[in-house]
Amino acid sequence: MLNEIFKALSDPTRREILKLLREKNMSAGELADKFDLAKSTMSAHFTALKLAGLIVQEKKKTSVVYSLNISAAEETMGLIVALLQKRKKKGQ
Amino acid sequence: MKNIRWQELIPGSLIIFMFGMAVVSTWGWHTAWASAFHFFYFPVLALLVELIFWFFLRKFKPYAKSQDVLRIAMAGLFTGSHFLVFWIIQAVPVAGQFQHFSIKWWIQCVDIILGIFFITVGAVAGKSNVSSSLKGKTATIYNWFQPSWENASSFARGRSYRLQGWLLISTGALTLLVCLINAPVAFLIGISGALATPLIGWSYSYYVWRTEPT
Repeated sequence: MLNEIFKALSDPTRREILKLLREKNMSAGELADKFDLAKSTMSAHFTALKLAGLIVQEKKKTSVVYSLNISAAEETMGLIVALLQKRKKKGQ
Repeated sequence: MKNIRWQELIPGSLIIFMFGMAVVSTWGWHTAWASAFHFFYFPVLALLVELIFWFFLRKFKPYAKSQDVLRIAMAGLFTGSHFLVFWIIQAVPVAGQFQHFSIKWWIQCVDIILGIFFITVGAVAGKSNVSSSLKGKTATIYNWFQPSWENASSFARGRSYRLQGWLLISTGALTLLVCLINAPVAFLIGISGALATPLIGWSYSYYVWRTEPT
């Protein structure tokens, strides 16, 4: 379980998705429009976040709406992972 | 993963919490007997209570009309029994070695219990949004009841829960810090923080619901 959460949080795109969902619930299409990535790649990111239990999906008519399902502990983990990655990049 | 009942983490986390209590409660108790008691018997008793309840939970599961209500009831029993064990067990050495008794230490212990409890509940609070069938029931643990606007909007509910989680963590951390300086004040901070958390949560979710982006 922890592995899945860390795996999901280790990717900057996935962290960005979480940041966007903090503002409002968004459909898969709306989220995909915010990134310059293929829809299949975005779908893989959504799956990783769903598996980690960080987002939940709800079907509304023809679209899938994602909402945030994150605890304070996981938010803190996300911040730590982002910070560590920044430091690693600076060091390189 | 999506089928995980996150509210079960609360009784689960109490195991860790009780072990933590066993360590911190040795403050002010320097006799060999008290240390052995706190470090060994107290955690073992706490664990035993946990195991008994897990056993009953498994036994009663097939007969319960509502699994969710049963889980919430068990969570309440877990919490209640742990507090009971703590108080009864603590009362024995206090009665036996009265010269060690200090009201300040006693209140400090309560502060530590409250602080760790608030941090534990706050850390998992946002997860209660996971199952729509549980939203009203899980909220009763730390939100007392679910206002209608939180039932109407999952977005408002999620944001309110996360805010309440952070508020509880802050209350817990503040209680733990202040109890080192002034135990009664820390107790008041803990209680008032716990009371203020749902009130702030309700107001915030109402505001989010009114201004919710569509």
